[in-house]
Amino acid sequence: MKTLFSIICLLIASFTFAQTTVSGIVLDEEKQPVMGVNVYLEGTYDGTTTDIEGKFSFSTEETSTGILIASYIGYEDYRLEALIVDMVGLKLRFRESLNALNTVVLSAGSFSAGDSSKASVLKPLDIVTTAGAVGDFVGALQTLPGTSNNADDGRLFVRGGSAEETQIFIDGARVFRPFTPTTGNIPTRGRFSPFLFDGISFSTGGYSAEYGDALSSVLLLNTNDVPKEEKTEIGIMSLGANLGNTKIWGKNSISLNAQYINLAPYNELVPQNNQFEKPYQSLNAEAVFRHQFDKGLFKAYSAYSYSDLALIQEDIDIEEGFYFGLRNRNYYGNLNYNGYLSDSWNIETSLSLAHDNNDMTIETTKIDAVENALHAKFKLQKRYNNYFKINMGVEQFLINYKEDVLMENDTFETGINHGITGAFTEAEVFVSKDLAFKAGLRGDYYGASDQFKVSPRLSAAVSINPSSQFSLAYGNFYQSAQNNVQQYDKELQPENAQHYIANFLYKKNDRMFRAEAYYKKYDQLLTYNTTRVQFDSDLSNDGDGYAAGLDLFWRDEKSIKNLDYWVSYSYLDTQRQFRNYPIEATPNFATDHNFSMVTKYWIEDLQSQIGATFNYSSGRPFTNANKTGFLNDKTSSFQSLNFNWAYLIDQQKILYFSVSNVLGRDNVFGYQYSDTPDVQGQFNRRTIGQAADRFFFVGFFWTIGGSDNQLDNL
Amino acid sequence: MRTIATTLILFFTLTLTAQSGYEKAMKKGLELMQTDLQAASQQFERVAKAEKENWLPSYYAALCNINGSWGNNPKEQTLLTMNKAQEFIDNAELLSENNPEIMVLQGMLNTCWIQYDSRVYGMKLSGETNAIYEKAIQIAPENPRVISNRARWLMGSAKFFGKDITPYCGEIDKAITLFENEKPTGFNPSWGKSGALDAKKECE
Repeated sequence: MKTLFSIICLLIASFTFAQTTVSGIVLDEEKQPVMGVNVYLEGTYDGTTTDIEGKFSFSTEETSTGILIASYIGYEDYRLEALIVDMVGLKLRFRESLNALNTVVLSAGSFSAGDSSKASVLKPLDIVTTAGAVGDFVGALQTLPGTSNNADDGRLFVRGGSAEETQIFIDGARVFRPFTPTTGNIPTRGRFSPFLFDGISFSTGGYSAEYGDALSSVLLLNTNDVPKEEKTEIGIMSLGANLGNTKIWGKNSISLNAQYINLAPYNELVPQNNQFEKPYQSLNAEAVFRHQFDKGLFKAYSAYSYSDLALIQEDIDIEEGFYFGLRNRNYYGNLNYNGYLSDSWNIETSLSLAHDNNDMTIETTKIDAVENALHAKFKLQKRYNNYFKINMGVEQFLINYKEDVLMENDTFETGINHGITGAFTEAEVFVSKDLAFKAGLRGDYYGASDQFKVSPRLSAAVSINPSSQFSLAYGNFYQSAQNNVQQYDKELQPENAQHYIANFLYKKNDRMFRAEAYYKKYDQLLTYNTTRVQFDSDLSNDGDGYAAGLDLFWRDEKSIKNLDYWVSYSYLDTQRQFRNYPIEATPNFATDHNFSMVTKYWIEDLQSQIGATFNYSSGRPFTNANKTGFLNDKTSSFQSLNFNWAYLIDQQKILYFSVSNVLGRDNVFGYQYSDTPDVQGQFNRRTIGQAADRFFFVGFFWTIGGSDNQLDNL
Repeated sequence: MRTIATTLILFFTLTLTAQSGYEKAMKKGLELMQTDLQAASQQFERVAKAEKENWLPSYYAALCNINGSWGNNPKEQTLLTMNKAQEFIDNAELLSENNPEIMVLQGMLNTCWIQYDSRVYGMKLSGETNAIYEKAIQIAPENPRVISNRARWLMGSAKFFGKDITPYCGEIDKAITLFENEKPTGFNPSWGKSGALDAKKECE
């Protein structure tokens, strides 16, 4: 009996030590063996690596059920829960995982900056190191194809669209007045400091159903995530000064940035073509607060800006010119929360509030416009797996606009309160890493005109080989009339555009080629019968038009050591009948040919980066009063060569110098003709040219904190 | 009596095998590190999955992937290896907060990213890397890996700016002395001396 018991004990013991063999083969989607795969039983040390034939075999002392894991870089993990004894002669099918480099991108229409993905055309530094951009991110985007360079305006004109057709978003919420208003060919700048933004994505058409109320283009800016170090930044510039500070405590951080610009001293030194009464000055202050939650990130962005200027505007019919004054105060606030609800659900919610107060004085007439606006958005994302995702969301815009016009002794008050309610859903499907689709639908209810509009959005992309891909996009887009127009006629419908885009992308070894052809059809464009929109204008939606073209982009960071350059060319064919146009014509902000070349060269011995940018735009249409017809003539071409030099004194200090339009070319944007002909029956004209022939900028930037690297600011 | 003895022996053997399983597996991983980084990383990955409370397997798996991401791999492979390293660092950090050894790995991985694409990651990560090394040296001023890797990072940026690297050579010497006196305990990190010696050559 005793012996029997011992035998049983021994038997049990030998069972415990019994070795079970787990074996099989790992094959990929093409049934090819995968070598080097880590195959193991979860929770044990038992496992092995597959051999050249994809085979594995290892022994284990485990006997019950177990979880077999096969994992390898570049593939999705494989899990199998089964009885260990059954894990013999297994055939594991491995699926390649999707990542930024091997996966097709839905690239039609879009450019991105700041990541390593295939569609990324600009690096974060490019925003500030492009000669001619002078730290304005819009300036850098104007060197991309699809934009028309309107150096007298400074805003983004995309594919034959007016500047108002581009909408800007910060952390998903709309910015209502992104640009400081100006006049008299003084180009405007974005209000926001480029250093506070991390990712920039710029779409010239065919964008996602998430974005509504934008006819031609969207520019998406994301504020920096959690900073890792505290620092203070000081900037002294020929035009003003800049101060920034970042503080971190626990899971919170705050970044502050303030900038004061005054053009008065500069204007004393460099003669201006405008006759300033009060040179341009501006104060911008921004703050970003972030709080890291366990499952998400909260960000609050807040910006205040003040600007004013006054000048004597030249006029062909008024010899002494006329007085023009402008004062603008703008507040913009944005709250954003982005986080996980579970492994597969993601939530993003944002709320933006804006208050803009614009006082304009033209001779004795005063126009005081106040806009209060709100954008609330709620978005959910469900990720079924890496291959299938669904986005859905709702949003609400509320706008309150009031305009007081004081003329002589009369005051005219107008205004409008209106809202837009939108809902969208979009599915993203990767059939494989070489084929992807996106299909979205959005519906918008425009309160003022009581209209409901449906906009489908579709895109598809296919890789031809690891470095080349094709993509297509289609979309229907609506945008409501500007507030100062809608206030005179609530019934005005939103304007409409349809985009058709075909894109080819090649990226290999730091070289990139992108070609995109598009056709855009405009409908229900605003028309009126007066010189400008006013209370008695006959407003309607009778306009239409089209824009078609080809955009080419080439970037090469590799061929020549230390040289990085890109070249953009856009061909644009566009005609519209809109506003007060008597016939269909090419608007004066649209140019047939646009060309830019940007170069950056790093000189190691001098610790300097020098850059040059050349911009060319063919002539702009204008109406020549001495000929018959409308927009019947073209100016000479626009050409500008810009140069910059950044010298790194050490890790903390940088000296920056730039000149725009080095050659001093006298660019012409248009002409103003006299209302009355002279004795010979000719209409005299005045040239509308540049604010100054050249623009010089010198700045010294100093970062204090840790042993921070000034490359951050280069 | 014999039965009890047998059972006891059996139990003892069982516990003994269970205890040494971890040690055996870690030893095997460390041996593989000398010859095959990928196999070593996979070995540590297996141990990490089994040892859910222990930061060391993840630490070594990250180290294997960091060391494996240097060199002339295809870009895609490098990217994947770096992402893998980050996963293991994150996992190790969850298990052991404010650990200067893990901070050193993060600093090294950031350097890999900067090498990979300096125009994208130079701006993003150089400040962060400074901050990580400063934090690590505050916590562990006498850790040779912290001293040596921090000094090598600072030497790298000084070289980039054409500055003198000699201010950091003293740090390297200090690290070498500390490496020589370092007594490895268990599987705690004890690597890094050869890197410091390489850096010393640049000083001479």
